Amino acid sequence: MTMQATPGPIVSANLRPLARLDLPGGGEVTIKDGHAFIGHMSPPDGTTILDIRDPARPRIVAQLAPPDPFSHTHKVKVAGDLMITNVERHRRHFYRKGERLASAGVELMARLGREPSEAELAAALGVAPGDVAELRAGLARGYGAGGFRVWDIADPAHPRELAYVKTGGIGVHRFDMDERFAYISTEMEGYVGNILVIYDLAEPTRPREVSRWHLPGQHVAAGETPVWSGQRHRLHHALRVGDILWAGCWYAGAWTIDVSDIARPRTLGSYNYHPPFPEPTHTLFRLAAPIAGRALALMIDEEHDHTPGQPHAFLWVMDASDPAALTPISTFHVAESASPYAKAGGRFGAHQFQERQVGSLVFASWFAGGLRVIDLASPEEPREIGHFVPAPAPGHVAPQSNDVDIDPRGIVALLDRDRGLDLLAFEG
Amino acid sequence: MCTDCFDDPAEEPADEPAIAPEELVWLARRIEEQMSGEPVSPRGWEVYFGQLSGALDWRTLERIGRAMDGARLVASLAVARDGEAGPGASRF
Repeated sequence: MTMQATPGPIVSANLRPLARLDLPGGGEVTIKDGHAFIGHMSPPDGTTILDIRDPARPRIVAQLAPPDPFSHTHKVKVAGDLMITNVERHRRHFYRKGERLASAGVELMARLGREPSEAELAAALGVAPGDVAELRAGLARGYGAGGFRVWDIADPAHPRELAYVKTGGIGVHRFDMDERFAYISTEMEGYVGNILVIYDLAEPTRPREVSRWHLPGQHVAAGETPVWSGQRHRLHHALRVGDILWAGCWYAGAWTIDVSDIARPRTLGSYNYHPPFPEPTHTLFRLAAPIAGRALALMIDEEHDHTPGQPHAFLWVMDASDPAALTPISTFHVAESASPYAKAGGRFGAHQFQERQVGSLVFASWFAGGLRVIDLASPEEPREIGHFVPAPAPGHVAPQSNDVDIDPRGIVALLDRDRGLDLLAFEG
Repeated sequence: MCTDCFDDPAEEPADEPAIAPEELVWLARRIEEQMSGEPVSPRGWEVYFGQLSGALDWRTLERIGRAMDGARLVASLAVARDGEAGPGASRF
């Protein structure tokens, strides 16, 4: 690791850069008790734990590798002395194409009247010709390692693995946890796309599945039939606030799930806006404390497959007074002119916000738009009060701010999915 | 295309419009002009399409959404008609 004293941001307001760490790119950062926990995008990098008690002089205290070369562990959460890291197939999008090798070959042979060449097969699958061999290897190898790992982090410098739980399919994506339960978004045998599986952590060495929840149509083994193609409708992840899980469900929108009986999750309501609004639902989060006397939930779309001339992914402010009937109040959008990297390549648009309430403030990672700080004091008219756009990592044309968290001191950790972590002091 | 997920466009066609995005926007704005009620301000359209930063109230966003839905429908009908009329037929 190398560390720069001054990170050299291009744009900054109400935010004071403290340090930039040249870490491998990451999928999630969470802060607890002066430590930042970072899940990295690609093996062999797994999880890094940083001591940020002095945020101007962060230091690595522990690094954990993924369990194998074919998995990434890019998500991480902590609660009490427990940490959970996901295990998910690395390059899942790429390897999923391998499942179409046989059908693509048959289709091409029927059309061409001969065996297709490797180049023709590669073009049909949307990969480089040199990648077909790796697709075949991945198909032959299969993948059965997906799941999650539970760690004891009473001493963050010396994490101790307590359990590995195998789930199914490509494994676990994002999740939520408290000291008693883990709310895991994972593929499972018999279902299409990620569903919710809740595990009891009372004995953290032996997590025990207590219940499942899925969207209508996902449970194909029970005879359900999806009304969408592929995995377009699936759980992204669900966050528990009170006795309700607030679930972002990709192209199926926002869902609320009653878990007052943890063994029987029950759908309360849903709100889907696809179409007309094009980008998929990433996160839904109820703000525990009201703002301006209103019960609010935040929702954010992930910029996924932006079409020029169409809106970029944005932030939603929802009326959550009736969890069974979420209704929009307002939305917040960032202009392409707000970042010099908006059209440089990579993604520009919303992705994620801090999964905790910080008064009326939202700290949102906006890919090439960096960090946007948005005040909801007037929920009908959210307004930006600060922003920070990091310099692109070496070898990259634009920052890709992926995830963010903030601690009680106002120390913000902004994680880039390609490379680098910025620590900032919020002085708003 | 997002390279970090498995929404493979070959397997999972997105809700892509049948015409160019700028044509879709043009259509949506014409449709919205004809809708009853208070029209969306020019600023509202600029925020929606990323030319200005800022907030949109739900009434504005819902109105834009309905206009975009209408534009997609008109576009799909026009494309279907073009298919029947053959090449060179006027689209709108």
